[in-house]
Amino acid sequence: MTRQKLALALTVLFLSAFALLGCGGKNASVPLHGGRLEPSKAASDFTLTDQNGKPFTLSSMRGKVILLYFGYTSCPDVCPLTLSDMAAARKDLGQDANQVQVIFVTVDPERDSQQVLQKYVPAFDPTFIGVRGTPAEIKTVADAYGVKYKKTLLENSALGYAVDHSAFIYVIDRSGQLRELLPFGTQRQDITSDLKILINEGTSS
Amino acid sequence: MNTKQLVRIGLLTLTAIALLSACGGAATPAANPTSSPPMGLTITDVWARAAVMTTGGMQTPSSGGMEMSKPTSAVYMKISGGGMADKLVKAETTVAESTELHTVEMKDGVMQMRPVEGGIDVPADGTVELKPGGLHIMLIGLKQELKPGDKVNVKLTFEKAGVRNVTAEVRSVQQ
Repeated sequence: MTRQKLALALTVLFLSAFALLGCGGKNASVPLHGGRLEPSKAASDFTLTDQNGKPFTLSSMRGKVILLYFGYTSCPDVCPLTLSDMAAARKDLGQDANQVQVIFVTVDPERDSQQVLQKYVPAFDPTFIGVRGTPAEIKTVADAYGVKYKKTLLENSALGYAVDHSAFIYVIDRSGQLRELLPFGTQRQDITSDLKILINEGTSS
Repeated sequence: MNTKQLVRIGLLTLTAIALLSACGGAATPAANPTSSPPMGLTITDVWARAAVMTTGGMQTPSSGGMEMSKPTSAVYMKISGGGMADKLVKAETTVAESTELHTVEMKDGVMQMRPVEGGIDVPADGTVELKPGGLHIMLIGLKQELKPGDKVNVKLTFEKAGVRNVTAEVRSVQQ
């Protein structure tokens, strides 16, 4: 129940942040480009299994700026483009790139085996981490972030089914606070700019 | 105004036209005013997204309902009707097991990908753009890795214009 409430709260916060941004127009000085969470909330911690079969705990990345993304590897378009954008943003950062960790959570753990993640995720950037778990574990994590996803059967497609899913990048600062949601299509330079801001903030929350 | 001046103006105009059409880029091939009827369908900016193989070489047919992940990619392009409305009804490639026409829609931040029923409409006097986050030709079950610089032949079938063969250059999305 609390989880559901958190998910709801996150959605409401996001929507209101988005609405504010929309009303603010271009003259408002907005340092971050996405839907901001104000006040920020502690990013829900989780432990899943990474592409090498090892347990991965989100809080072990404390001190880095985290870009968290939920998707699936059979996704032909939106997921790879977002992963590419994040890889490009890291490149733009130069030396500061090591202050940023990208994490890809599959919402299709039935098809996205460890082996699949191992081939797919590092192809975008060798530092990227792909994580999976049982469908129940994934559901818990997704709910905690307010991520909606749903398997949809495609009758006339060789894909079998698609997984409709929230396509935001969840941005977590170095103190472990969830700060903003970047919608699909956020320009690469805007991602880079937000990362720079969060890297320079340090870890004080 | 003497002949020399006229010639000069003529040359300047021609140069200006040439420059303008150069600016237009590949998307709009320079119009040829002398060509007779509509110039017909044009397809430009054809590219495919680089993709890796996510499954090991040979796969045994899935058994017992085991789901298999299939490596995928997508082909994008711009198609202009050139005076006649048409419809892209089929796309085929040899690099994937299946080639389908798909679209992506965003609803409240949720991405939904669906096959396009009936085909992709090409407007008579406009351009339909297959681009990331929207309409695309989806390659399902890649038989090979698609590396930047590779070429992928795509056979397109249109309702009226019939078959058109195009070559997509594989690009990494990052610049």
